[in-house]
Amino acid sequence: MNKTVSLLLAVACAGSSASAASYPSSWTDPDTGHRIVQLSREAGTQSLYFTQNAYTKDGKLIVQTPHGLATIDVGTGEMTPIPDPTPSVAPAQDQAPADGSARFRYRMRLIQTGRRTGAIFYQKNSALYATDPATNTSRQIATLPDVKGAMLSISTVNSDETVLAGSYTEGQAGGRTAAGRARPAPGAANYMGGDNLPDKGQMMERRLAARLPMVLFTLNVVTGEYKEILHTTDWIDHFQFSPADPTLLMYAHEGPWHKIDRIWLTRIDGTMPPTLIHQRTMKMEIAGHEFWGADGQWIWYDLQTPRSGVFWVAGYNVKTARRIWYHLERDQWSVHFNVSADGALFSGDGGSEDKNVARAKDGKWLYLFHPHLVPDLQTPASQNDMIQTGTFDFERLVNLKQHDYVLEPNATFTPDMKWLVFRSNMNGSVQVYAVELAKAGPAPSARPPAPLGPPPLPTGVIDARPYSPPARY
Amino acid sequence: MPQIRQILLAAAGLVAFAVAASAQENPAPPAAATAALPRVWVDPATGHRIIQLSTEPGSSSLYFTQYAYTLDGRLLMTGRNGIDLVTISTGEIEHVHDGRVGRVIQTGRKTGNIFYNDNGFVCALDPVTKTSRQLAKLPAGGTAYTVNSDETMIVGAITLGQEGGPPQQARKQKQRGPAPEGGYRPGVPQPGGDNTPDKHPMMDRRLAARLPMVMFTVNLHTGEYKEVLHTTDWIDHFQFSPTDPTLLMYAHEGRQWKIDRVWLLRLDGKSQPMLVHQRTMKMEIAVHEYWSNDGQWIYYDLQTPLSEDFWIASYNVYTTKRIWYHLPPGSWSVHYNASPDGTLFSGDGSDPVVHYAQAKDAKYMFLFHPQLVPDQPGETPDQANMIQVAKMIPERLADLSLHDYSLEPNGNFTPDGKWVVFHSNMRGPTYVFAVEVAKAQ
Repeated sequence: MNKTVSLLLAVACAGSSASAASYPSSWTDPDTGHRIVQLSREAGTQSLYFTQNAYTKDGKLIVQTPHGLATIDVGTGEMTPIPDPTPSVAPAQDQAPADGSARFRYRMRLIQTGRRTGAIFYQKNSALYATDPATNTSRQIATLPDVKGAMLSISTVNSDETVLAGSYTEGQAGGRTAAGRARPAPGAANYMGGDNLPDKGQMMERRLAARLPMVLFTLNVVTGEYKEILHTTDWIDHFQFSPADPTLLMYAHEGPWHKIDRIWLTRIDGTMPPTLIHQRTMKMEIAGHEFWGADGQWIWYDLQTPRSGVFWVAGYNVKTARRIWYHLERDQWSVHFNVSADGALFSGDGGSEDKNVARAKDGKWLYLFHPHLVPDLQTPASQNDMIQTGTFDFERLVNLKQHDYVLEPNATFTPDMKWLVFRSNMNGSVQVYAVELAKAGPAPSARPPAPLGPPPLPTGVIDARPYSPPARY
Repeated sequence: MPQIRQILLAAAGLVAFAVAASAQENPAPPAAATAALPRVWVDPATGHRIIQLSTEPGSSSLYFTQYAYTLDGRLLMTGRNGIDLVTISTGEIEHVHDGRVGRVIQTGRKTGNIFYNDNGFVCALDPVTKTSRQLAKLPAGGTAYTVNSDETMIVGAITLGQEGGPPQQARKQKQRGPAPEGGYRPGVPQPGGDNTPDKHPMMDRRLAARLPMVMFTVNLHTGEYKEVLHTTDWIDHFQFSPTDPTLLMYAHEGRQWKIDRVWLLRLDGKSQPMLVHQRTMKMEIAVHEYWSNDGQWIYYDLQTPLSEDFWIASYNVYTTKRIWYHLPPGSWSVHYNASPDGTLFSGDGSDPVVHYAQAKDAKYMFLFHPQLVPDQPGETPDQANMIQVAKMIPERLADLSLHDYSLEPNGNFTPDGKWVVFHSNMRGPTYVFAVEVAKAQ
């Protein structure tokens, strides 16, 4: 019954002028008045983690599909799959080796788009590729060395696209646990997300306590130089190069957040040792989910003083050491915040009472935040180094009451700041959506129809010539 | 309307109260409406019993940090005619000192004697014999503010060039002076002197003036005068520890975001002042500090920043441990206090018109139930020295919707922990009230 109605609606929408663009579906959220468009066509398609730069220079969004990667024009919904450079080494799910590593190793895993050229960087097995989104031409740019069989993984590309950074855990060949293999994978009919699984908390406790030796390394794609820059038994991850400063790298100490000092900066050329960005002073204080502002000046992070008590989006300026903390209320706390390209707006992807730390009763919304500074009242100049505080005015963009936070929406602003892109399972499968920041017209439409048919086939080419970074794509 | 409710409650026989004979000797309230109000009622908004302790219009309890109880648990109240003591359980008022005195300092923790300033002397009034004696002479222009725990020493201050006394003090005395022009009017709140329109410009001027000040001690046995601090900071709110005779807390005064306010000084002749709370934010404030009854903890109103995020912060003066109690929006209070056993806290609410916090519905006397945020298993070593956090669960004790916050209610717990005492103009003239911590049956 529902399916029939949905199909009819889909047909109706496809025929209307509002859907001249080829969105699988679009509607106006009756609770917020904002227009939402569905960008993906295939269940299990996900937009990236909120810190990964996901936009090409011409503003196209890169998504991870169950089969590989694709770009989507947010303005029109046009989707272009990126060809798999080595389709022959991609076994089907049911042929994966028993250790479960195949899912990770034999897929195109997106790293990010480059800040300089907008090239799409991804890893497949131990090879690194860059795709020119204008021509959809992919080239292999580097190969990871074999370090005693360890599973090396690249996480971030520096601002001039010459250096990649990643990590590995010594003595671990990678792969998933038995529990991991038993879970539905993206593309499976019952896949609803893998961010907040029931055993996550215990897993993190165990992993932190294990103190496995880890290595942070860089790989220069121009010279091919592989360099190990940090050996540690801290659990490190969330490597994020500055979007503006090619040697400045942010990374995290992972673990239950109240047990770790999480956010660190270092320079890959050895001129700055790892430096802690936020020193906690309270028991149960937590700082995490850090991300860069687009200009590379500010680091922002989720700060709670203490956890689930008092909520902030805290900022640290890497050039001036200035700090700004924006205070927000429990319902507006979000799993991930983000900031617009011009730094003027923030976003939040909300949180649910049962799965997220804020335990908000009315937090299942996608939010747009307008920051305001707390005015100084003749504060003496001697206090200029103190933390500046502010507050957020909030606007609700999408009602996520049907969304299950087992998947985290991970909102990102499009570079033109007209849309907020997110992923959601609110309509029964994991899909990618965008919501328009400007309010829609007065007449909200009905709930969305089901997605359209299969995605287009890849049209791109693989260029086998040796790689040298282009001036621009 | 609330007045009618109160009368109905009294008429329904829900309360029974014997007004002591001595209370009748005080001048009768001028207006009939006041006389008709019961001295005891159950606040319909909160379910807690309230007693009007004083019967003289314009009477007042002390500032929330000043200890005001005799050894037998009676409360000190001041009025135009001098000093009264009231037995809270019966409402019986005893007039123990006739005539106005200078600034009342506090009651002594050891003897229960009432210490006050009078014509350049520190005096002590024995509440049992009702006799006063001069204990020690003060330096010219000096005022005594606090008595130490074994009652051997006072701390006072002099502002050089202002030996006539600071403007603040002049205002307080005016408040306790003659009845206002036109007399007390029932239902029209008697303005207080705590939040006058010129207060903030005055504070900015005074802070900027950097007048030289002297903090001194006078030994109450030997009369020895010692200058213990010379400063151009504006210092005040001197409070001896209730248990440690040489440990003093005092404040740097001024607009609260311009100063680091809360300081400790060990009066052993060699220690230096120690800042208790280092602010790290612009517009962060740490103010209205007070001692726990056992002298272990200092509590203060912490806002990170002003009017945005509210805490009662505490610091243990012996272990240096810190606990911060977070307050939900709408319960920030001008002054907090702690119960004698440290398990409960009080707040005297706030008014959006007068206070920065601008809470819309916070004109109440509050009781706060603290709840520690539990430590998680597997605490890391660095967490041992971190601030412990707690949250406050507020309960409303008394509806102050008729109260005018130009007078600050200044709640404090009785020594048995059963009542919170405050003063209020909610009935027109200022009176002293007590609200019961337990709910009325």
